[in-house]
Amino acid sequence: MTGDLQALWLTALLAGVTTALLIPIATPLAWWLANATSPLRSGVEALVAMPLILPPTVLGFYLLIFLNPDAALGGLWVSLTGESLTFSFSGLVLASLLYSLPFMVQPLQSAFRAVPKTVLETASFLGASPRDRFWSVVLPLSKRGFLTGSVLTFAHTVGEFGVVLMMGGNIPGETRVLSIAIYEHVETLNYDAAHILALGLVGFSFVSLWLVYRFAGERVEVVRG
Amino acid sequence: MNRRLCVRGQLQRGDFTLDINLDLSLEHTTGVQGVTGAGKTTLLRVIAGVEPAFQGSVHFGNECWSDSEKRINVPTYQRGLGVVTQQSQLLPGRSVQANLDYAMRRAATVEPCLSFGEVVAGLHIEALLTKGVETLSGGERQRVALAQALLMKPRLLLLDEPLSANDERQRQQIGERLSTWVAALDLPMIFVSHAPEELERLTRHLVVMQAGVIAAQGDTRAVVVADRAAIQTTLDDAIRTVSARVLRVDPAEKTLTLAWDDANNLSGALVPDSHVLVRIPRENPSASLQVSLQSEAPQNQSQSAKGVQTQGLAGNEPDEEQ
Repeated sequence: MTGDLQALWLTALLAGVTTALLIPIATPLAWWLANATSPLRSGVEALVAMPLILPPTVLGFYLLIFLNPDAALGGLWVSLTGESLTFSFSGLVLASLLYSLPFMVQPLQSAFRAVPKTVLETASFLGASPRDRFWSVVLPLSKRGFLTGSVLTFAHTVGEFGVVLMMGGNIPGETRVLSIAIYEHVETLNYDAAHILALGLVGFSFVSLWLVYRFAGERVEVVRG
Repeated sequence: MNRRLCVRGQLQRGDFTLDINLDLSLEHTTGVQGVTGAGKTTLLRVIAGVEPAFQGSVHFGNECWSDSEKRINVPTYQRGLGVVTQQSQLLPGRSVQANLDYAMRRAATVEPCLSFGEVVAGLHIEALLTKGVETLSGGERQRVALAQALLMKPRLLLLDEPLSANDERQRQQIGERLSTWVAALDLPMIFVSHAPEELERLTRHLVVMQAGVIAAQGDTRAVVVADRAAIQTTLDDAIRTVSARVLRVDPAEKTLTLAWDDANNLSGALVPDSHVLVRIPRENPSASLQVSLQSEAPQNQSQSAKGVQTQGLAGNEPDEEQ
């Protein structure tokens, strides 16, 4: 049971760190996607949405290839931090950032698109620079987008399984998150323990989505997960 | 202070072309007049710097605000403007007070300005300060937008039908106050409107736009008077007025029988079911009656022509007996 509590804590930490890091990463990206007229936009949009349809095992497989200590990127990380990116918590955070990116970017992008151009124009008539307009007009009007993006990112990271299995494995306190713990309980025929965790996750997912619909209104389109 | 405004260039949007060569001294408040679609709003937006498709240049005083050839474009927020557009968008989710604060905090501080209390009282918005902007009426929104524009201490006021949603009394009152303020501050102002009376009250120089070009400009009064004369001439060409005498009035049949003077030979001018306007003096109905013949047949002739008959005097055969 202590192992499961540890898994619960690790999962919450992973989801929290991922959400906190994704907000500053996804905000400029979503703003660019919402306003860009560049032909590159559709390409970037497709890349951002890739984790929605790509099997998590594929993502996990490539991360394993590129992040292992013998690869250039993974080796660089080892020489900088002395820690490996595969089979480690940092590696899981990096993987989750990629895996959950669309869940943060897409709600933000539609929130930014919904800010009327005329309102931005008015703010510029009132002497606001583009940066000023973003902070004083766009952000307050996009609160719901941030709420939706954060809840979905958090919940989606909690449900991560394939990627973790591929590149994280099952190291208690390091990479053994809830979904892995459930899998292990089932493998060892410990159905009671599996039930507790599984039911907990069902409840958690429901509450997350309820929060989104309750506070973010009907304008939100929940992306496929 | 040099406040000459020069706008030169073109803007193409679908079928509409704006082709402007305008040089305004802005010594006096300047009006822009024209029918809907003449390009008044677009001209103002070019001056404000929010029409990226504009090919040409805008200069204010010694400053170059935009020049598409030299790739110069001073962004709107650095031009020191006070802008009110027709559908003024206030900042949503904020109170009126917060909207005014937003403008004041970003104001250029160098110019002399009106006090907050003065503007708020003068535009009748004291009672609105704590309200959210979503609850305001169209007229109230316009007055708040005007207050924002004045409170941000602009170097040039650009007002596009800023009072159109207010009633006539408010328009007059606020118009007078606005005149006093811009005169006291010596603030250049461009005021777009399609109401000649408002332009006569508020401006001394007038630019008339038509189909994307400047059709005329000059002293407001002279332009408005000339405009009225032109309208009258058009009316005179289209309408011929003859006098006639009422022979019979039949309220039951809603039929009026008229007799015209010998001098007006109308036998060819009127046909059954054609449309005429009968002008009847309100004060003294027995005095005279005028019948106006419109040169073009209107569409709903059957309704309006019903019940009017004409009959020649002195042996002229009537066109039609019913």
